[in-house]
Amino acid sequence: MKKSPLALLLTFGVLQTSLSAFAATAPLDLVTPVSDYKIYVTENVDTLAADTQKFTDAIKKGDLATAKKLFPTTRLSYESIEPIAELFSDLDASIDSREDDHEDGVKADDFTGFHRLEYALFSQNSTRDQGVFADKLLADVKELQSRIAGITFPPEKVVGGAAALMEEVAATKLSGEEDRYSHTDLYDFKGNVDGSKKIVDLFKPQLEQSDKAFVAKVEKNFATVDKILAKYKTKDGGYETYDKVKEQDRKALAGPVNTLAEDLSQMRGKLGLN
Amino acid sequence: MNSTANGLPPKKAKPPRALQFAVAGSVILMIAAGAMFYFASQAAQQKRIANSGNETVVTINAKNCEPNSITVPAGKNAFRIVNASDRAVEWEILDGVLVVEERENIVPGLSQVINANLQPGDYTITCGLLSNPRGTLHVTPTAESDAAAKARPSMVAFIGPLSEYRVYLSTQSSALIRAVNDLQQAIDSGDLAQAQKAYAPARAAYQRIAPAAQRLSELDNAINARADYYEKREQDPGFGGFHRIEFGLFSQKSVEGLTPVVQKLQTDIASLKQQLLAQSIAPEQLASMVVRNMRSIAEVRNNGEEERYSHLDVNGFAANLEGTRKVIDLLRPLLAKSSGEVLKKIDTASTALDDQLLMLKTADGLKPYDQVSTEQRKQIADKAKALADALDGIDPALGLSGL
Amino acid sequence: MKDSDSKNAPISTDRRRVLLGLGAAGAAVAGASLTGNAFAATAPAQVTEAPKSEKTQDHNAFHGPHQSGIVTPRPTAGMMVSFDVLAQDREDLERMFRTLNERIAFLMTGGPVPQVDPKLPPLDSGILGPVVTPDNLTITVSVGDSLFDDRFGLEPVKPKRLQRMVGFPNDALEADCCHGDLSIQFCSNAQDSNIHALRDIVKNLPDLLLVRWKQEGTVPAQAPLKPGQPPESARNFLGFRDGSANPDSNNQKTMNELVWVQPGSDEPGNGEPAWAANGSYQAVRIIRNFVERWDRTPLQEQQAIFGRVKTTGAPMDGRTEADVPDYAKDPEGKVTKLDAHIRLANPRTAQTQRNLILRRPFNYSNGVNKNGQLDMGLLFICYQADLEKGFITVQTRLNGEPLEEYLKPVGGGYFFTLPGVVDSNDFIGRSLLAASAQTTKTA
Repeated sequence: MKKSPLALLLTFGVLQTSLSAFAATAPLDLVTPVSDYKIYVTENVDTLAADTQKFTDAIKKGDLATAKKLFPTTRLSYESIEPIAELFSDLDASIDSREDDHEDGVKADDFTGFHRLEYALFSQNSTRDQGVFADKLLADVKELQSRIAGITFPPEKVVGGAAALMEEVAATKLSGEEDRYSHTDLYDFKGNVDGSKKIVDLFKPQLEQSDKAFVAKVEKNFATVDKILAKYKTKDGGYETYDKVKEQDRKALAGPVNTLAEDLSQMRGKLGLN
Repeated sequence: MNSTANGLPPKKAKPPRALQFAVAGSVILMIAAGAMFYFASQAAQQKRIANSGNETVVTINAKNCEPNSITVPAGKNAFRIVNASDRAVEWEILDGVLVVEERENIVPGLSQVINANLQPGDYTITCGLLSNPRGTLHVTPTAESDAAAKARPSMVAFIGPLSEYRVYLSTQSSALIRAVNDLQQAIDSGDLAQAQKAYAPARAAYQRIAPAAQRLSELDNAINARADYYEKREQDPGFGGFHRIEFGLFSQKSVEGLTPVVQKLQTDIASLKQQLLAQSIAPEQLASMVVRNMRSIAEVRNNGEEERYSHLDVNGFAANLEGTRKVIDLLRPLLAKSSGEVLKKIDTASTALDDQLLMLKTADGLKPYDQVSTEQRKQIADKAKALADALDGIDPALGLSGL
Repeated sequence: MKDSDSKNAPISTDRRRVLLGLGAAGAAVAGASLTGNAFAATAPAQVTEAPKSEKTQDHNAFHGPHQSGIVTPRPTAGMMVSFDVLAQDREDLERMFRTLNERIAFLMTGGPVPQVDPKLPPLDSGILGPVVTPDNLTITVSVGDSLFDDRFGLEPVKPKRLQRMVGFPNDALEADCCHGDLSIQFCSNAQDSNIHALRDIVKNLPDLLLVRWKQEGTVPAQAPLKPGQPPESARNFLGFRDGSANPDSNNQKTMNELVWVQPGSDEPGNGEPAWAANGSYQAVRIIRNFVERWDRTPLQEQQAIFGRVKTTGAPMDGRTEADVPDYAKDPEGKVTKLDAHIRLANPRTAQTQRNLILRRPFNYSNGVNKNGQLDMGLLFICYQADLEKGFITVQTRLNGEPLEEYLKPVGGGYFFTLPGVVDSNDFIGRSLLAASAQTTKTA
């Protein structure tokens, strides 16, 4: 039986490449980036703990203006290490759950953490009776710090984290529903994107070994996102509120964000991790 | 000698051979790790039987070794080291800058056997005094070594523990840098009491990472070599590092002349951190590093030679145990899965050594080692040996032996 | 014209083009077919021509010991509607049940709609035409925990396990699509038939029922089985077969054990009221699926999360969907992960047999979220004789499962499905009203 060249190509070429993995990365080559990532996360959670201390101090002192100012910057380090923070689902719920994660909304007893305080500071415009939530947040953050120190980072979670962060942006940041009272979503946005980019940077040598074009495409999309974010930078180094983000820029962000989520979802496979 | 002028290892060290093999082997073998564990341990067992006969005799003379160029087949090799010089010396096998096997404190006139499990490739060997010329060791591949390289188990499971250990090395070397800075400030301010006080925590910080640091032969010699390894002992101009400072603070009871020594130590420790993070550790080395560290307590350091001026030996042993326990804890999940018995033995042995050291705790710290009885020293040695023996079970249990 | 003919008629031409595709040979064959109408068997249809169904007259028996729509095979279209009951007293409540009974009896049977003076609004929405076709419709009525509050004196006869749904850790329940006094499940061959039935009920009970929330869903039709081929379940929106290990709904004994509250369940210790016999507990969950994220998840991870092979639906150690996984042989979860969805949901041990539930889910697709992501997922419905041993136990076992990363339950509720209407003297809810009347008198 004679086969056309195309048929041969189909059977041997396309099928082979689509099923067999990539030029596999040696697992032990991942030790350095995985451990460097833990060092990065450790530094960020240390910053988070220090910032949270200042943020909650301000609330307990009744200093509304300072508390409002510190809210978005404090969250930044949490958002950048979310793939690891999310490994502890109890803490993630008590630190970062949103009103709509609770059936009783803002009134739910277990609605605590950043967004509970955000509600008080920005929606009720008050620090009254927030001491208990402030204490709880600080305690939770310290617990997170000690759990991170104790846990061996699962490599697939580290690598998968790059995509997870962009999924987070795609699912909750583009709509501006994350920080619905303060509208400081762009800080979180930046935290997620930086956290994702950090992971890509750490694994760049291994990724480049298997697919240079992939790295170039991903970096280009990160650059696009950064460029749009930079438009909304304020003089004090912070970001404008999300309601100021133009409709066309929201749309312009969606493309690269979704493409990054799509592309980065291949990272684990490219690095040979399950 | 191929070291650079400042005594640091050459900057561009090639990646250790063990790792190159890890790369080749693991690609094929991510598929059926379970089966491979089995075959790897089977192969290892057969190899042990086959290889028990090779013994190479090396004689260390005052200025050189004989033979100084050796060729052996891959796998388990025994080297009988005969010390024909007039002082206690050490003999090491190096892969690039990294120590593969070593034996310290070979007494003059006696011989010691070193068992090394070698992979094919070229190694260097050190020979007695640090100033003596180095030899070469050529290891030829065998059918077994080729098969073992192929039968290497999946390495994915080791990414986590190895990464955490690298993080541990990073944080602990930072702690060491801080502790040595304290020591340097005390010395600079001429405060002998303060400097003596700062010596112990700095040593402890070093001893926690000693198992890894000691793989970096030259750097570690600069940081940690005892006077015996220098031709003129304490008077030798090359004598530096911790023990030179210890000699000044506790024997000469003076900070005089220590400023350049501690400054050099700071430089060396900064490169130590850099090197520890740059040098990869193969999975099987995690266990073998701490085994070697425990054996050196059991076989050599229990005699009190290490901290002979300050008698702070117990401080160091306790820190060694801490560093060892870190490795045990990192491998715990893997061991618990496949080899509960091995793990139990290790935990029992590490608790026993810990208890033994705790007995030497006094109200104001740890008992100076010159006040520790011969019987107690023997107990420490025995328990360190028991722990080393238990730790020896790790690599076979994880399918990492005979690679 | 030849050209337009060939575009309309033989779909097999296009299929051939796809199958042969890509190659020059394929194009040649497709080209050749333009000259002859060898494949065209029927006259070409018009764009506006409606899809044909031979099943519009199919109907299910309204009378029986159990309501229909539970062990009835799922048709294509499902709809769950929850209502607040507006009745003010028991009299109103009885009127509500009697009216419902009358409407359901008609809708499930079909027939001509009475015509009225055209100056008046018509009695029927007319969306099925002047003669209502049953179209395989089932309407299943259940009551929620809140109906047993102090309004109607029903509290003493509340089914023992009926309770307000409490959120599970991964839930993000939205108050406006949860709970309700009464639920009605509509199932039929077409969404329009369900909508017709709902609009009929809304129109006939405006003072008694207020829609609280509604969720529609579908079951994708499967190609007919070839002889000897084992039955295959439909796929959910994650692309996996759903319903694989359902208990046999044709086995009366199994259904009596797992689905129907049994007569005699009112014995002390068990405590179901006598009236509840032949009813069942209904658990409804609106489970949003993060499909974009799921589609970006490696296949082997998808399969590990579910514990099944995506193509065949077979368990990880099996060949076909019907194969039963042998977890005893895999205690460490090397083949099927210990936290795989199907392993947690049904560990297949002797003790967990009592936790089996009869699942009757539909896929739903609602539109788009604010962030431009598709709002779709599973309208999960299940039935069991004991809500606690059934759904609540199973879902508790699933807490923390890896699949949670891709799911968000946002709504639903627990209901008690009333016993069936046995004959034309009976009506839906009669036994509940009668039982509560007795306890009110004797108290």
